[in-house]
Amino acid sequence: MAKTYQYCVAENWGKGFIDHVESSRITFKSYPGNIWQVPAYNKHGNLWIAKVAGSVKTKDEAQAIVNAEVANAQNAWDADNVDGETAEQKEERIGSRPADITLED
Amino acid sequence: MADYKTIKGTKIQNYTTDPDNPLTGQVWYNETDQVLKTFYFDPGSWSTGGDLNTGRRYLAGAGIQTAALAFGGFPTTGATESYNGTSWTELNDLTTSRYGLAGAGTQTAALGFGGFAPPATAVTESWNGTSWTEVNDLNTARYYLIGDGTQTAALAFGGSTGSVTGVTESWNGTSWTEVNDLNSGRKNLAGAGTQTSALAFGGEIDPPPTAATESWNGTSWTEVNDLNTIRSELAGAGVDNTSALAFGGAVTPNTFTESWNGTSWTEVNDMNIGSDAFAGTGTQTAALGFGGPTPVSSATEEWNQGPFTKTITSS
Repeated sequence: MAKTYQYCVAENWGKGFIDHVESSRITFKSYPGNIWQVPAYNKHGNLWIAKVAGSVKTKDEAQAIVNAEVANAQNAWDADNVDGETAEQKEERIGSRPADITLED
Repeated sequence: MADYKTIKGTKIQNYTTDPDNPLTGQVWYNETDQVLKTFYFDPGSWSTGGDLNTGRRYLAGAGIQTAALAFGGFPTTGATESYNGTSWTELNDLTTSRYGLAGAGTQTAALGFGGFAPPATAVTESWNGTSWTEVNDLNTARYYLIGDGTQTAALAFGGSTGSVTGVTESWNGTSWTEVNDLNSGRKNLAGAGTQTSALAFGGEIDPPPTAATESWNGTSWTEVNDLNTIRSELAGAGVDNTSALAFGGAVTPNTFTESWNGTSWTEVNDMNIGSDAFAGTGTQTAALGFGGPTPVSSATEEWNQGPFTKTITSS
């Protein structure tokens, strides 16, 4: 089955990283680890990856990067505790535990 | 195939400078720049802006897209930064470092109130463009509230005191006065507008998230049509209770954007990065979203919608 999305690693440098024209033409999704999802077999997606000097990854490679980043965030959340605090109070204090992420084909 | 004259009833005109009040869809030739231009309606899209220097979530914001202020946040900080439409610059910190606070006003005349220090705080600080000064406290200490208005006429509503609240307070430049509560008490909501014309939307009713929207007329809150997507920890922008933008939030994906026309919400183009537990400011047609949880804690996105002049190119 032909893939729907392609993935790359690119660091968001801020202004101009994604401009309004690109945003109008492509549906972007960002994931932990500077992973970006753009449509596969798409001229505008390919041009954007070239513009940001993105390092193209397979879905499995991208998933591994995302998993590592999510695990780091979960470990940091797990380690942030206050004596006597309930689970509900912890969630109220620092928000909910980062959830696992599954990339799409 | 129909040509321009058939469609518009006139040939493409030549101008030395762009026309003052072009019609949507109008095309003209700018003789000075030697380019073909058009005036078109952009339904709206997000682009990336400059990154915050201090990444954080549960921060507050004030101002407009091209002149914004970010302050406070988690990990607990008093960091204050100003945005010029391109990049953020570090300024003097809040007197009381905290997160889950709310903001109102402009880049050079702002108000920061409430938050979690911890514990819940009622502290209110006033920003003069250079530094923060502590002024009179909120009547009800709380966090995860929202605010809007100006430095001298602000509104604080919702939040958590340990349990959700609909408490609403009005600031007259000197002190806070308790006014009518939200119908639906909640925390981690978003808001838009002024002290006399505001909108409250989304949030969390301890614990389920809500899509509820309420409109403030200066005296009381009235329930109006819900957001299309239930969510909390979203951000908002808008100048009154007839025009607002809701974006992001603790939902998958955290990129949903909706536009309010005074009656109902319409889904528009999603954010590119997305965020939750972040801050928003600006207007329905020129909004700014910034901050959030790791790894997008420094990210900034800019929303622009409306008629624009564009140079026509071959690509």
